[in-house]
Amino acid sequence: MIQTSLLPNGIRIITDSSETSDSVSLGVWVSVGARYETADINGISHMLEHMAFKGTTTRSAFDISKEIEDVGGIINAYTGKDMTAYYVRVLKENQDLGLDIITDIVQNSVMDKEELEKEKGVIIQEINMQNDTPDDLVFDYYHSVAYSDQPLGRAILGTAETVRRIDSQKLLDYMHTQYTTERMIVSASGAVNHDEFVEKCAQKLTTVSTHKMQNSVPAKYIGGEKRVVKPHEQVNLVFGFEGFSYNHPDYYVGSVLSAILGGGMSSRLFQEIREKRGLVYSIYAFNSPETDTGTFGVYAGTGENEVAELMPVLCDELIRLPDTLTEEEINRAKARMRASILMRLENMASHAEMNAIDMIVHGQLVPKQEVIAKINAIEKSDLERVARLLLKQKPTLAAIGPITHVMPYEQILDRLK
Amino acid sequence: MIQVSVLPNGIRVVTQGVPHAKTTTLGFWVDTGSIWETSKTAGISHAVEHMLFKGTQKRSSLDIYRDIEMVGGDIDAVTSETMTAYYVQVLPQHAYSVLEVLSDMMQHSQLSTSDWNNEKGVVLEEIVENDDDASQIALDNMFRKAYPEWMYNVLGTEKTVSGLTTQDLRNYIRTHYTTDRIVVSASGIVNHQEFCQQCERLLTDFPQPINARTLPPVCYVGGDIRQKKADEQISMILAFPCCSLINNNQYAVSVLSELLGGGCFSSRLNQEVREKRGLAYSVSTSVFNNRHLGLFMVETSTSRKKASALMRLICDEVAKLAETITPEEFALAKERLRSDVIMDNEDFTEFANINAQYILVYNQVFPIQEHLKQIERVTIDDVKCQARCIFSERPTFSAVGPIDKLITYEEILSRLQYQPKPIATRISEAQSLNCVGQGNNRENYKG
Repeated sequence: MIQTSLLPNGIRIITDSSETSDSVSLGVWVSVGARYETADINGISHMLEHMAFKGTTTRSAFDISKEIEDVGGIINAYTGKDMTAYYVRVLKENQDLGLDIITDIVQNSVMDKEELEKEKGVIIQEINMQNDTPDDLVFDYYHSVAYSDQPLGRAILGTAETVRRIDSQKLLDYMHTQYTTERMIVSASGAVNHDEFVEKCAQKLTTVSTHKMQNSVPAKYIGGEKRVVKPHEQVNLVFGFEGFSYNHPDYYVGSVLSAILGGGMSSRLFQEIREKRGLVYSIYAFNSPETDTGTFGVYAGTGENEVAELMPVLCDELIRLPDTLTEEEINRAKARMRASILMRLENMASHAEMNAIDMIVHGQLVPKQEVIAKINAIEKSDLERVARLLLKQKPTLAAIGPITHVMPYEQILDRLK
Repeated sequence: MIQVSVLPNGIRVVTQGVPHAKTTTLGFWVDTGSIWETSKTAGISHAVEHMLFKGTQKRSSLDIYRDIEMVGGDIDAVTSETMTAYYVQVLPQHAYSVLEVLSDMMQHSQLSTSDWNNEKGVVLEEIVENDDDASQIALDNMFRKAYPEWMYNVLGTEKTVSGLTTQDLRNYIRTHYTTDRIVVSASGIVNHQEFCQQCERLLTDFPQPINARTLPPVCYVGGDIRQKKADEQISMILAFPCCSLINNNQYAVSVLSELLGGGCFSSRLNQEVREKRGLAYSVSTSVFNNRHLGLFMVETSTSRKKASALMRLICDEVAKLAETITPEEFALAKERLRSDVIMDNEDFTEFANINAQYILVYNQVFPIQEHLKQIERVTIDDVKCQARCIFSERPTFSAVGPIDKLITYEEILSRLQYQPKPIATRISEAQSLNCVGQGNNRENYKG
C-alpha cells in the first residue's frame, strides 16, 4: 500500500509497504543534479554525493559504511542530471539504523579537507574509467552537442580540472543552498509502517534548509555533431533528435515509436540492421525524458567498415517510419510497454526509487493504471504526427572510434529530407 | 514451494509458485557451454544460442520474436562456460503460449546456411565489441592462463567462429541438447502439475541421450598474462584456484571473499585501497565457481602511475590475511552473507533461474534455510584454513591497458610469499582442508 505525507518543514515522505517483504529499501532523493551547476563547478553534485560518505559531525567515513554493512545492509548513492539519491537496503529489523545514517549524511556532512583530497583521486579515476568506456562516453558527447554550453550538456562527473578546483567550502555552500526541504523526498518500500516512518523522519530531518531556490536553467536543444577518433575496434554512435519531457503530452507516443523503431528483437532496426544485414551486435532506439526536454535517438555499436552501410539504412528507416506504421506493430509495442510496467513492479525493493522519481518529475505519484490508459489511447495518427515532427528537427550525431566511414553530416541531412 | 519432476523422456522440470507474484518467468536451461568446446570449436555453444532464434519449420525468426513480444514478453538468452539458458518474463495468461514458442525454437530450429552466414556477422561484431572492454579482455585472458585446457572464451575467436558450419552446429545440438541435459524451470504464477503436462505435450523432439561426454582432467596452471591497450586505465585481475561448487568449503570461501573485498565499502581492500589511499575507484573480490573448478579473484583498475603501488598493496593484504582475521570481522562477514541471502530471496523473478542452476549442478534444489544453515556452520578456522590454502597457490595475474613499467610477476610472487610445491602435496592439502567435514560435502572433489 502506498501512502504519502508532507512534513511541516516541506519534506515529502512516501512509503510503499508490503506484508511479504523481509527487508526495507529506503532513501533520500534530492531534486538537484548536474543541471544545477555552472561551468566552473561542473561535477560538484556528484562530488557532494561522494563526500556525503566521508564523515558527519558524529560519524567518521568508516563508521558510515561499517555501521550499515555490519548488519548486512547495502548503502549506495548516485547522481543524475536532475537528482541525487542516497539509499540503503536492510533487513526490516535494521530500518531505524538505515534511516538514521541516510538522514545524517544528507544533513551533517563535514567535508573534511584531507578526505576531500583523497576522494578527488577516486573521482578522477572514475572519470578515466568513463573515458575508457566508449558506449558510455558517446552519450556524454551526444549531450554536449545537443545542449552545447548549457548545464544539461555537461558531464555529470565533471572534468579533472573542475574536480581539482572544488574545495570543502564550495561543497558545504552547495549542500546548504541546494539541498532544501522542498527538493527533498524520503521514500521507503518493503516491510515499513507509514506512520512510524513519518514520525521518525520528522525527528531526524530537522536541519535541512527551508529557503526557496530557483529551478535549473531551462534546456535549449541545439543539435549538430561531434566525431572523435579513438583507437577502438568499434564505432560507437548515437543519432537523435530532441524528444519529450516526462510531462510532455507526446512522451508516451515517443515511447511507442521508439519501441517500434528499435525496442526488442522484433523491432525494425533490429530486424533490418542486425537480422537481415548482420551489421551490428547492439542497436536500439530510446526515448529518454528529462524534466523539460528529452532525447529520441538510436544507439549502435558497429565495425569500421560496417558503419558505411549502417548510416544510410538508419536514415532510410527513420524517414519511412511515419508512412509505414502498421496496426500489428503498434499493438506489439504497446503490449511490450504495458507488460514491462507490470514486470518492473514485481521487485518490491525498487518501489522506493520508482515512487521517489515519480514525485520528483511529476510532483505526485502516478498510478500505473493511468500510464497504461495513456498508452492504450495512443492512435496511429498520433504516432505518424510525432514521427514527422521529430524528423523535422536538426539531428544530433555523436561518434567515437575508427570513424572514417561515418557518413558526413550534410549527407545525413540530405538523406533525411 | 519448489517442486521438481522428471518427464518420462528424462527432461527435468522445476517450478516455484509465488502466490503474490503477478508475472511468470519461464525458460530452458541446458547443461552445456564453452567448457565442452575444443580449440577448434570455441564459440559454438554461443553460436547455437544465436541460431536457435533464426527460425523453425513453423516460424520465421521474426515470427519467434513477434509471438513472444506480441504478448509483452521479454526474452533473454545467455551462454556461459557451463550453461546455456533461454528465458522469458511474461504475464501469466500468456505463459503457455510463450512456452510453446520457446519449445518450438529449442527443438525445431532450421539452422540454414544463409542464416548462419548472416548471423556470423553479428557474432563477430559481438566479439569486436568485447575487444573494446579492457576488463572483459583481462577476464578472458585470466581464464585462459588459469585453466588453459578448459576455459575457452564463451564468444570464441574470429577464426573459430568463421570456421563453424551449420553441420557443426547440428552435431553440437544432437550431442549436447539431449533430454538428460535439459531443465525447464518456471517461477511466479505457475501451477506445477499443469506446467509439467504442458512440457510433456510440447517437449517430444529433443535428441535422446548418447554416450557420456568427457572433459579433460581439471588442471590449474596459472601464471602471468599482459596485453597492451591504448586506454587511460589498466584493468587487473589477480586470481587463485579455489574449491568448486561440489564442495561445502564454498561457504567458507564466500565468507573469505566477503571479508577481503566483497561488494561493500567496509571490506579490507576497499578501505585500504580506496578510502585510505584513493588508489582506485573500485576494487573487489569475487568467487567464480562451477561444478568442476573454482577461482578466487581480485579485480581492480586504475591509472598507469598508480597501478604498481595498487598491486603491491593488494598482494600485501592478501598475504597477511589468514593470520590477521579477527573474530569480529569474521562474524560481520557472515552476517552480511546471511543478509544477502535473505534479501536476494525477495526477488522471485530470479527463482526460475536459480532453481534451474541448482538442478544443473546438484540435480536437486535447496531452500533458503539450507544456505543459511551452511553459512551458520562456517567457523573462523574454516576461513583461515581456506585463506592459507588458496593464497599459497600459484596466482594468475592478468593486466590490460598501458602496461609498461607495471609490477613484475616475480615481485607479485615474492610479495605473496609464494613457495612452489609439488602437485601431489597440493591435492592432499586441499583434501585435508575440508574443514566443514567430508560428510557434508555433496560430492568429494579434488581441488
